[in-house]
Amino acid sequence: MHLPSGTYSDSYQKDMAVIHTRWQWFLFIAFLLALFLFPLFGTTSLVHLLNSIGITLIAVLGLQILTGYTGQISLGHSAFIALGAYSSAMLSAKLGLPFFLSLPLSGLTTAVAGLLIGLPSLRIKGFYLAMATIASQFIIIFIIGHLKITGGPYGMSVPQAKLGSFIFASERSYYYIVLIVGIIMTFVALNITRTRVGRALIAIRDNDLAAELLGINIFYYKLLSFFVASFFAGIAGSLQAHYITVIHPEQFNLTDSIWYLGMIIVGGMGSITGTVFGVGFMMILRELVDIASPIVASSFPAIGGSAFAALGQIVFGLVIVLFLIFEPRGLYHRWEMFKAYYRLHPFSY
Amino acid sequence: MRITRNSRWLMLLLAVTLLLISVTPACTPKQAKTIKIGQTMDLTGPIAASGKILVEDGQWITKYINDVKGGLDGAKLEWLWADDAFSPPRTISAFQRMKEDGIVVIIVQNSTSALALTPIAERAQVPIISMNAEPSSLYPPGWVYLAFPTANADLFVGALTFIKQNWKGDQPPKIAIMGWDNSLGRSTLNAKKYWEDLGIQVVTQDFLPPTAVDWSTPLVKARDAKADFIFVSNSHPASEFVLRDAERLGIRGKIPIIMNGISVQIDDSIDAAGALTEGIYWIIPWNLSPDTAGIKEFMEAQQKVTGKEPRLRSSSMHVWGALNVATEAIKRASKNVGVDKVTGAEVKKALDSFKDFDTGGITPPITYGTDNRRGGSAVWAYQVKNGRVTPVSKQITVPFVKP
Repeated sequence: MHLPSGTYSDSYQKDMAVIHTRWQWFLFIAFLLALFLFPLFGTTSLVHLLNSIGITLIAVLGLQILTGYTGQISLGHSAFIALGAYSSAMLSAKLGLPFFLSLPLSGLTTAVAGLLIGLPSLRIKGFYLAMATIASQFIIIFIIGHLKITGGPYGMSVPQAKLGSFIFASERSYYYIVLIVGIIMTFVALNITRTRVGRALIAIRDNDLAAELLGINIFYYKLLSFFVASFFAGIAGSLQAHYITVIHPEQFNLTDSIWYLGMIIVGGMGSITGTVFGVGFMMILRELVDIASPIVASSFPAIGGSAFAALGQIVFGLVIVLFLIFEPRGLYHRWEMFKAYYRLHPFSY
Repeated sequence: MRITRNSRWLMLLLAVTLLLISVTPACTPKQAKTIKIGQTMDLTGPIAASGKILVEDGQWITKYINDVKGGLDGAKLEWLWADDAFSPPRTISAFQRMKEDGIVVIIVQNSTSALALTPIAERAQVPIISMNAEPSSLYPPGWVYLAFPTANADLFVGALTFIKQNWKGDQPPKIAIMGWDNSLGRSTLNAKKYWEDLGIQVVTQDFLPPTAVDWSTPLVKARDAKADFIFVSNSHPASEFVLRDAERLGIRGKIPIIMNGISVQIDDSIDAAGALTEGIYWIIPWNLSPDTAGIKEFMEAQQKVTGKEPRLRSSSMHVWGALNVATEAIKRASKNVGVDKVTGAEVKKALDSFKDFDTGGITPPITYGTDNRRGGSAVWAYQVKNGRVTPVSKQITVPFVKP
């Protein structure tokens, strides 16, 4: 990674720091301030969009740790989000637990379930693991859709998040929950990847046989990876459940699991910053397609509105394919190239 | 890439121009007053086949209301639509955007979206007209209104009543239920009390995922249980798969098959399955007789606006009904407060005032009120004879199957 000209590290802590200079601190704090002040200026639909991006980001961070850092392909991430949503809903609605208690508990519940789903990863990998995770996607959703306690195929209502007597009923009030939880989870994800655990996960991704020969317990670290990824998914599911206030088995489908993988491909595999870029890019792209479809359809009435709505699916698929061909390292790599150019301009040395 | 001083200035100029364009209000001619109705439908999800028809019909019906009927008390109707892919979060996103565009009522395609949208629409004071609804979204009465159709469970009760009315056997009739393994398919189970009261025996209950293409297992189970009728609750194109498998197993023509006519697109089924639909029954929550005033208006409107041979698709009644109810409510609100002051809250008040609203005979007169949100309250049985949808029953009044 290029540092700004004249910046150097003379200690391990400085070398491992994420933010190196005062200017970077200033930008970071300004960015956080902008995020905190956004609901005061943004429209309700933009705040809702940011809420959706925040919740999806938390889920995809987990998938990035599992797939991007550990190399375990998972096509069942949407089912883990469903587990988080339903466990949080049941803890709140049936047991009466407050939201701020059911949030971490649902994460833990999902993480334990993730351990069970992750067991096949000890024996199979690559394509076969992907198939196993697809199976888990269908099995989990089938079970949820057939239990009376979860409301079966009708779904269930979820109480809104409350703190004392204050109810987080509006998009703007809920934004702050999503923002704070999102910042914490991003911080946790970033630091996992910078520790011994993260290095072990990367070693397993790069060559699990060599990692094992080096003394890394791949049994332990693979399961830990599933545990962490499922925890993130559970947190995201809980946030979504208490935000939308209605959950339904059909909300959590295989298509979403595939799109989450697409987001980490577009953003950059093996990069937390890339996850932010990928989620933001794809969700904003989807929003733009949803806005543009009716407008374009009205200009070409003979073709039919549904054709333009289906264009959205084509656009997403095309974006993923183009990134795989032309920028396989994702938006994060482009960002690094831009920073390198900016910092070295006009000289390179 | 070298960035020269000139190109830097050019880039700065471009950025400033874009900024000015984005903040300067567009200079457009003064527009007539516009009243906006929002609609979400599934165009890319599991029931996209239905959504496609809604878009096509919604466009010409809007044109008909504006160009032929003169709009809404001098105001132009603008119909905004968006794809929600059967996903409640996307329904909410679409609603938020449309609310900022100034919609006064939102029409949604399915019950799950209606349920998820309810607290948000209530906060935004915009009533929801749902094209399909389960009892949980209609009861207790709130901001969700069902337009023309009955709820799925009510329609099944209509099917049971039709069977009872026409049953000539000595033993109680036996019915096999099959459908999608979701709220649409399983809604039939809410009517347990009714089939017990009517003395009808349900011999099998089978529900398959919406992606299922092979319906042999439930059909064979129905045959082996010696069912007298088979009731199918899914949607196009799954309905054609059922008919194909029934034909292959020799069941079609031997055991009468009754389809749920809210979701199943009869016309698309006839187009796709052709002769396989011969003799199949549909229970539909509207009167499709060409003599009905409402149907005559629909056909004439379609011909006038599209210039093509009008086509009566049963699923078109979803949009026709929803837009009729919505525009009537807007007109009433406009009469009360003036066209410039119509808001969602006023439209809701107008909807609550519906008493015996005449739908041109397509459904019985609609009455909402503070304790009722169900639109239609009757069904009709049809059968395909010589490729044509033919009525085989009079109006069958159905109760509201509460959760």
